[in-house]
Amino acid sequence: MPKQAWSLRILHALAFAQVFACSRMQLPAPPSRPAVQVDVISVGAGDAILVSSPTGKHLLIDGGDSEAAPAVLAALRQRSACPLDMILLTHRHADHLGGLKRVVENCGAKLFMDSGFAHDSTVYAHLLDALEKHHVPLRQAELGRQIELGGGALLTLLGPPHPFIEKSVDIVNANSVVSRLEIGRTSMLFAGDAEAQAEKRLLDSNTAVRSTVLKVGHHGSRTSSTAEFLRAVSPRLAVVSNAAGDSKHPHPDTLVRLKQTRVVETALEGTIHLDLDGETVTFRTEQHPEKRGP
Amino acid sequence: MKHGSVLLFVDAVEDEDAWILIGDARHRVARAILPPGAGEGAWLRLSIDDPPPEVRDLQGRRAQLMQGDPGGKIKL
Repeated sequence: MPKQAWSLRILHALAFAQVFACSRMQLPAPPSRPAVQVDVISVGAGDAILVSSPTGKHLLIDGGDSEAAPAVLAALRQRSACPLDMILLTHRHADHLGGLKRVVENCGAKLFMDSGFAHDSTVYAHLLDALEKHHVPLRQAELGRQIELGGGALLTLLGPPHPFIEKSVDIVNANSVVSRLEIGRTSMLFAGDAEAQAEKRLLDSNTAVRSTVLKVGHHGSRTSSTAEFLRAVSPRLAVVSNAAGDSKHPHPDTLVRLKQTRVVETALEGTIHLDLDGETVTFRTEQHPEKRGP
Repeated sequence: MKHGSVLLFVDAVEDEDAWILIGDARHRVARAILPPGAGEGAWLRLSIDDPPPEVRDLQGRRAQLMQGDPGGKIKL
């Protein structure tokens, strides 16, 4: 081959390499939409859920029982969530509020919100002690109130029921704060420990409950998550916060009603991390750290 | 405040559990709820009592903390 032809070949090769390199550099990055991150923290029997907005605001829904405080605090620190922008207590049972005193003392909070439904235990008294000591203002959780988390994420309170449910075997659960998080076309319903009566109230009032993800009410108890309610919510993913070895949470009847929905449990998976980016929901867990869709 | 009460019999104590009889019905409870000195064969009276001082007026304390709540939408 003549020397000139070799030179041409080398020039062509160089030009191709340059074009290839440029085209590689110009490849569009995969779309990265700002997401709300929801951590359903593994706290055994109880609930503790951290919601982190695209603008870095942090809301903790419940704090597990007193023994769960170290796990909750570790999860908050992992997200650099201290001090919290808000704590929302769904109801005053100890498996939802017991860890909050230590959260207030060791992480801090700018606002605290609960409903006025009385259940005057020493655990709640000790939480009030901490709120008073650290000058944390209290906000009333009431039906319809909204909390802007930033980056287009909005939490709307769908409960406690108004007026309060007065006749129920488990009246504290019946008056749980229920809330719905929405960002773009993705959403998550936090059912607290609401049971059938509260669910019926929501359906009777034509409240918009349809959600991409459901934090299943009352740890999956038999008396929550009626077929009618699940039909209205139509979740693609159901998350249960529960303790290992508890055969009633979730109850087998509840799992039958959820048979069309993928169910993940903290008892089996550890802490469950969800990303809601307005278009899609993905999740990973301590046991299965690879991202998955529902 | 006076209310009715229930008489219980401590039937058995096993590890962390206690078995109590209410009439003929046997129920398992945590041993930790037994009052000091109560072992197998003890009779207990369970009654509704007044709340202890530390939980009195919790709603009033809560209302104090809630002063300044403007209501409406909250922006974090």
